[in-house]
Amino acid sequence: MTAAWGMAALERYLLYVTVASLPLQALTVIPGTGVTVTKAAGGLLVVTALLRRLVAGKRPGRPSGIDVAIALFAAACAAAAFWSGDPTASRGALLGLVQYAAVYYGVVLAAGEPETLRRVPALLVVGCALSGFGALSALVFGAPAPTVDAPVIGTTIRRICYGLTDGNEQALFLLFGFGLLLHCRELHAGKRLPWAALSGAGILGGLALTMSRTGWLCGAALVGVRALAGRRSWRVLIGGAIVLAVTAGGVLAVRPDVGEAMRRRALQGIVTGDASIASRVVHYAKAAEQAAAGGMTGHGLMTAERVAGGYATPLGEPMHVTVHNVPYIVWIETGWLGLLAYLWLWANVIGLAWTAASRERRGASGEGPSEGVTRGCATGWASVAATYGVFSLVMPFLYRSSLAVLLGCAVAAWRSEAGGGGGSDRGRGLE
Amino acid sequence: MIREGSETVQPAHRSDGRSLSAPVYLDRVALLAIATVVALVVLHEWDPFGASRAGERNRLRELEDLVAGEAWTLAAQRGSALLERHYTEPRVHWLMSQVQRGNGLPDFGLQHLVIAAMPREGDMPLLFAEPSADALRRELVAYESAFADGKVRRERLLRMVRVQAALGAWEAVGDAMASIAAEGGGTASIAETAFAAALLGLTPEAWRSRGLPAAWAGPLCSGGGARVVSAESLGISGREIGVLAGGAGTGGRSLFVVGDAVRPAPAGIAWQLIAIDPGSGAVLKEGAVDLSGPSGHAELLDDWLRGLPEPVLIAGAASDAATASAPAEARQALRAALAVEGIPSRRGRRAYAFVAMRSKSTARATQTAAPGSDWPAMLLCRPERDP
Repeated sequence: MTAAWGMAALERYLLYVTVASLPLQALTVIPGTGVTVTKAAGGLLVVTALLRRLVAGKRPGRPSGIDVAIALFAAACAAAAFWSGDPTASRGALLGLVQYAAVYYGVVLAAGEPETLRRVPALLVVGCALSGFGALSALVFGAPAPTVDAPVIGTTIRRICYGLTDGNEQALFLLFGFGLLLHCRELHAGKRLPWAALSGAGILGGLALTMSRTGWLCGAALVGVRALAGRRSWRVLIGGAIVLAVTAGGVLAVRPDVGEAMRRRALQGIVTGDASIASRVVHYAKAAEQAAAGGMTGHGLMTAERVAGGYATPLGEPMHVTVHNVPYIVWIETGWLGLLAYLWLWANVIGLAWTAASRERRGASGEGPSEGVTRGCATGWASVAATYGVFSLVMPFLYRSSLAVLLGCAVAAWRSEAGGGGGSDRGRGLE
Repeated sequence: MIREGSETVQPAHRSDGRSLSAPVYLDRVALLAIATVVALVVLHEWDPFGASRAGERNRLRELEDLVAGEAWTLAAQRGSALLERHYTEPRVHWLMSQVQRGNGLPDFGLQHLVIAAMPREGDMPLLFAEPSADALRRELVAYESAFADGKVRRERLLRMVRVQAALGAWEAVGDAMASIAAEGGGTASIAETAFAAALLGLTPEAWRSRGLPAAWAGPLCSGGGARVVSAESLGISGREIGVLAGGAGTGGRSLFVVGDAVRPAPAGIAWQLIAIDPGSGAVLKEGAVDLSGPSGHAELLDDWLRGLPEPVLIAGAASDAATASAPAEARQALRAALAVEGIPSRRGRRAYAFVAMRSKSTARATQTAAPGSDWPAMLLCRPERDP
């Protein structure tokens, strides 16, 4: 009993550490190893989740609901690696994707228990809030040392991030936290409202300093969706507006130049012409030719940068960037088979999210039973998936273990809401 | 039942009938997980093991590893990307010096070494540790070996002189200058001396207190691409007007010389302007105009010029950062207001100096751009000595 309790607690601890460290990955390197705690805890989580169930004599787990799509995509990736133009790079990438799949299933198992699943959004929000306050503190006090403190390329607009090494990726994770904070009722209900307001202030402040226009647009869209979600949630929206006003007022009072920088960044594409948008358009057009030339199995995993990185702008300047669009990268690297499998995977994810969110809405309005974890949780995770879906159309974030972790949490939540069971122990609590 | 807005909703519930809308607090395991993450972040900030590899520092270490492994091509790509974001960091320039030398491009590398060695103006905060004097010295020695084929051209020699001066190796500077200075005259104007001092990382006072010979000033200025024009051609008489637009290659300092007075100015992203009465030589106004924004450049310039009498002489210094951050609209506004031409492109990273005479709301100007990223732009409007 004690050993079982210990293993269950360890499993939860590893899941929580993995999730909470996601927005701060670059800062949570285990000293002397060069390995982030996110990766270490994720790996240990897979082992612990399997061991725990084997020791208890249970099946390692049930289908997660998108397994056929995952298997098809894995097969397409394997084919792309087999017929790759760069076998070494592709084999490494394939190994990485297999590890991500293991992490995904480990997370689905570990997050399957309602008491665990209920706390996961809070952990991610805490990580995001720490990241946001770190960036704000770096701006105002000059400490702690940010992970990004550099002008946006080609401008003098200062970009600050605390936690990750890419401004847009940092914005993406802050938006994940923001979406969960907006939708998961448990995160802002009752006495937790001040904590939610504080977390929201940190997240919005951090988001502003990333100078990510895609991030800002997605943030506005999340608020809009929340406002139109059906439930008239004036309390959340008014509270959010107050938080935004107080955060913005506080930052601008101390550093008025931030407001000017944000204005310039927002107007960059309209007033001065925007190389980042223009280069994407050029790159997409050229990448399509290369992707089509890859045939059914593509050029091989991890080859997009080599295949599509040598393009030049219309002025003849080399771009030296990878395609900023995940479906394009998948198409280039895994061909038509991979692209179709990837789209099928997304269709499955959307179907699962839609079913869960619909059921959650019916349950919340008293029209039907709900076996969900907590109100708004399924919708919150759907907002996470939607945010990534939008970002993936303009950014190249594909090979990321963090996405496997978040997909595992989301699928566990949706399965729980849809009554399909998120894992082998769903509903049974801790032994 | 929970009331949310004006709508009554049911709490979510589990199959065992237990409501799940009741607040769930972070349990001990969750708090322990958060404590773990916070502890690691604190450890990272404190970095007692010297193992921090986050963010820009991580990228710098990656570049250092590539340099150590002599992977020059990849190092050139990574270093260029790092310079895009941290152009004023001496350590990145020091590494790029090694990279370009390794790539067989010593003239490019030497430019980086000059920027790396130049003393910084003021308290500019640096993200990365500065390279030590020993490291810079070793790098300079490597160039001396690389140029040992007897093709030490004048511009190479002057760059090496600048590095030696920045490192305080004045004997070596004297030896090197001896051959060059023999070509020049034995006197130097105030502006020439000020410019030459800036090229060696000194103030004019430090130049004089060191007793550096006036004969060095002319060759240093001409070797650095100083443009000399007739003051009379601009309608100035009887006094010298000089503009040195600095940048990373001068430690972040620009200079204006009006007659006998030397006026230092910061070489940041703003354009430094000074208005001079062409008759008396009195400075009417001086200040900075930031033209890096997306719009309103013409209004900013008009605001600055408003109220000035005409004719008026406007001298301007734009650092490498100022020209790199000036959009097309800013260049158009400068052309319209001051008739200046040939502003270096945004990717060029070169400083730019001009002197413009405005009269009856029209202007004519003379200007020059720095010959390289490590040099300032130097413009000397000198009265005809023998009319």
